[in-house]
Amino acid sequence: MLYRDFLDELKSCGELIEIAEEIHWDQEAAAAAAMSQREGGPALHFTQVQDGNGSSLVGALFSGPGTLYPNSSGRTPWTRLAIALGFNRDISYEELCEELLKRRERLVRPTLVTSGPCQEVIKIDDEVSLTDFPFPRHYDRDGGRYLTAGVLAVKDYYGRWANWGVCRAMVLSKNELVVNIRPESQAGRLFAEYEQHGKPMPCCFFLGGNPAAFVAAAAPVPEGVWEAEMAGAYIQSPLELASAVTNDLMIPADAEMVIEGMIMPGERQAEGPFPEYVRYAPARPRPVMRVNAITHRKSPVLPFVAEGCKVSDSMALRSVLASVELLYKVRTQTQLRVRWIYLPVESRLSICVAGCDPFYPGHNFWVSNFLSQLKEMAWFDKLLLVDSDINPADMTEVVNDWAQKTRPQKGYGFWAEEYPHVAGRTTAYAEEGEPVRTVVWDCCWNDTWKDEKHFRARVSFESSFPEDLQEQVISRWTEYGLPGKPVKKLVDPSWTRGPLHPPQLTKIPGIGGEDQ
Amino acid sequence: MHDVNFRQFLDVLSRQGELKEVDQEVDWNLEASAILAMIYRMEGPAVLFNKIKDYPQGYRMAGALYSGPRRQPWRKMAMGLGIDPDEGYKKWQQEFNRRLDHPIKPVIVQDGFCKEVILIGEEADIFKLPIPYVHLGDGGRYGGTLPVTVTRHPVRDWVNAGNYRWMAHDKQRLGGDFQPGQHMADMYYVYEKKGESMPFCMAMGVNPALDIAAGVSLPVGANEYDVAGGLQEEPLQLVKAETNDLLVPADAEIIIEGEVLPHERLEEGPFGEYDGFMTTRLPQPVYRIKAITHRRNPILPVAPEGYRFNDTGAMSCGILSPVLQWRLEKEGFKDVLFYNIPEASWAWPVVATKPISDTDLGKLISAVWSVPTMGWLDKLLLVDDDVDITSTEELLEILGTRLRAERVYESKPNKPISFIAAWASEEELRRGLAGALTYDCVTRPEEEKPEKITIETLFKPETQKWLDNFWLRAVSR
Repeated sequence: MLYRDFLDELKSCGELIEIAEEIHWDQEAAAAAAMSQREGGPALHFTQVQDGNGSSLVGALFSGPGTLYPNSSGRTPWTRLAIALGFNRDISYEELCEELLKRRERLVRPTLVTSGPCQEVIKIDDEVSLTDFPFPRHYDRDGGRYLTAGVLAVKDYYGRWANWGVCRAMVLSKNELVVNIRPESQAGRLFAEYEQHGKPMPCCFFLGGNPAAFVAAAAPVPEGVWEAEMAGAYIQSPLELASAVTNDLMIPADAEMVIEGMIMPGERQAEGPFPEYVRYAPARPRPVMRVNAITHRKSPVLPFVAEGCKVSDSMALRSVLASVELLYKVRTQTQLRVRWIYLPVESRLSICVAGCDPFYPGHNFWVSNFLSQLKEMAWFDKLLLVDSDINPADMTEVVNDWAQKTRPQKGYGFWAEEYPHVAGRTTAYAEEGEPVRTVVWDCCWNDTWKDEKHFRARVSFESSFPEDLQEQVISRWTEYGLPGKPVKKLVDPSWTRGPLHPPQLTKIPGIGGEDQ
Repeated sequence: MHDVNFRQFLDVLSRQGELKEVDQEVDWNLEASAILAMIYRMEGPAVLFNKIKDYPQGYRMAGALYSGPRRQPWRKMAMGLGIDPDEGYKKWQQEFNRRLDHPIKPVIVQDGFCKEVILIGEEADIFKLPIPYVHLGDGGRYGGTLPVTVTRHPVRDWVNAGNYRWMAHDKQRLGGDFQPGQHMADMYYVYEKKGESMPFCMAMGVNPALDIAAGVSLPVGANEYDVAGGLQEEPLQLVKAETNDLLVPADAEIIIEGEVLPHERLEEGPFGEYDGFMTTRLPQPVYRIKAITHRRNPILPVAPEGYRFNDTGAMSCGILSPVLQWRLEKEGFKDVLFYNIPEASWAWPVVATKPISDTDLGKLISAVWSVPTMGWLDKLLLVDDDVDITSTEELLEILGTRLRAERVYESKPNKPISFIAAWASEEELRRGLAGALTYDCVTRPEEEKPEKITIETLFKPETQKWLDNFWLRAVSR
């Protein structure tokens, strides 16, 4: 759907509110967005921005609260993602992942249109002034004003393939940006090619546009796949792209703003400080983009992300999208029974939780073995394997099993010492790049147990009472005179290794049974 | 002065909006338990069921008495002891521990509400009380989910009162869980060795101070009645039982008196236990009832076990944690804060400490594990003192981002294994010993503490103040 339709859709189902009060781009907007991210609140559209020159800001666009505590809005980290991709807002995690798994196999090429709202206003060369727009200064100690929801579009040196990725950029002057292109990222490697040849890399930064574009750009899409095609896959319809004005890169025709330019070879400037997941990243030398043109809609609605604060847009999106990529690899490259994978937002994506069904002894060793090799792709350094009868949207149950069912001894699956890996973006105890080791917890029922009597049934509302009593209690709740709205969890009997309901005794004393 | 008996406690809860009465007829067979299971999930109020199916008017049940909101598990307990629950965990814990340090001996009175109705011998039929069937798959009707079971040691001058589950085998025989290591079970095995019966009394519907004291793990030889007196800052009032010379709370709703014969066993269970899973069925000793006494229109307290955020979950944070803290402080560890993760229902204690050296940390870890209640636990999390220990969300972040592989410590398998250890095979249960895991997420003094990325660290105080006002004004309606 188009970007502005997306904002309207969010508003109509209570997932976005408009703030009429005037707000300043200097920390106020980011503070409010950070608060909404923390409270599990709606997206915030700041319609009146001081010195905005007609532009407005929108934050917490894809954020959503973790599933540890109940929240009355029923929001999850994937609620607004679901809406962006055209799904029902209350879709279950499993359903969303299974749908995305199917769809990502059917890439859809974007279509080229001659022009779009993204080029309603065109400013070239001397007319270019980044400071005309209310790009926020997010936090007190930041190195400058930032674009945090921009997607960088580039092509490789020989023009064979294109790449989109979300990266932040700091405003350096009225026509320069320092772009946080990490050398090891796909864009970084493409830029290295240009630098080798001593040539500048044409690029575009776009803000807004079909939300599927931002979603795909934030996902760990496989190398060689253009995020625009993956975006088309997610929504099963082609993105509409327009060509940039000063170069031939393609960007969403309905983008709010496109910043076109070139990344200069051999030039580096200090970018930062700016917070990341587990640290306030210090200023680092990063490539510089000379801006040749800015095209935008009239009165653009500029998105931004209060990055680093739980739960930021990227945390919410990656918790699902990285999990889908991991699950795809498990399903297509192994025969392991992994029902679901989730990277909890509560732990800033540092833990990968997998719902497993270990149907032979040693099964989980292979799961941890396989997933450990994908750590860098999804940024985690810890693995938590739980039984597949736990709903991934139920962190409470995950925590309980983590406490109760972990063997208090280090066993075969506990350490992945054989696989050296480096600290990533979620490791607070080591600098990025330092060698570390994975921690694996296997909290599944023992995989040598075959007998049903070893698998103890869970105690919960869904398993300790017959279905008709559950329905009765829920439907009579207000009749009883009790407050609030009861919540039933999604539990599928086919998921449990043991019984969903515990075995019934035929004779229970005091319930028409025989005395012993 | 906070001497409140059970009905006064219900009043206190009601006046503060923490109790709802259900006048609709509710079935003791699973329905009451289902309602409470949902109440726990919704962090709801205590519930008084005024009409129970198959039972005469006036026979009632009350549940969710001690469960609490996730971020304030001690709420109802604090109300029962006359402490303000909204002052935060540290304040609750300090006051609780201060009262633990000043036990008050009980006084004996001549009469009490518990003697209003006296049933002896054949008349003492447990099914006259609305004991519930708590989970599908339970081996019997578990009337004993919040009992205070009083027993005296046959040799030592020691009376123990503790919370031990029981189910009804028939009108006059109850079955319970006698786990070695628990004080009552150990006493029973001494009686059995001497070939003697162990007299017992169970009190249900007692002063909240006594329910709380019975949930506390005290050293061998300590008396929960004294502790309860200290917690309510007034002596408990006790009367003599009818059929034995044990002393019972005078104003209890229900008293069950009897004896446990040596060498008698009946199969007890299964039961949905606090770890969230059904236990197995095992032969256990038998409580034989000699008398039941109760108030008119008795209220049976119930605490359906195993459901997330129930009374046990709240008690682990509200009671177990302060007690473990108290014991650690006696060992000389003054600058630590103890808590339990409420989602993990008793099984995952957390200790917050300021940065300390490896040696001191080692001493702390040893001290924590040697506290007797830790005997049934096998996980421990250590965090820095600037972590909000009452926020499971923050603890999950710490576990994910600050735990390194080398700092997961495994202890030798030399601790008694919990009977309900979910990960253990039958053989391991029979062997009876297990190890423990300690997750060390503490920053050493020479290390750089990882930075928190939150509103509090990213913005100046003025901006935070603006934010608070803005949020009230423009967003939270």
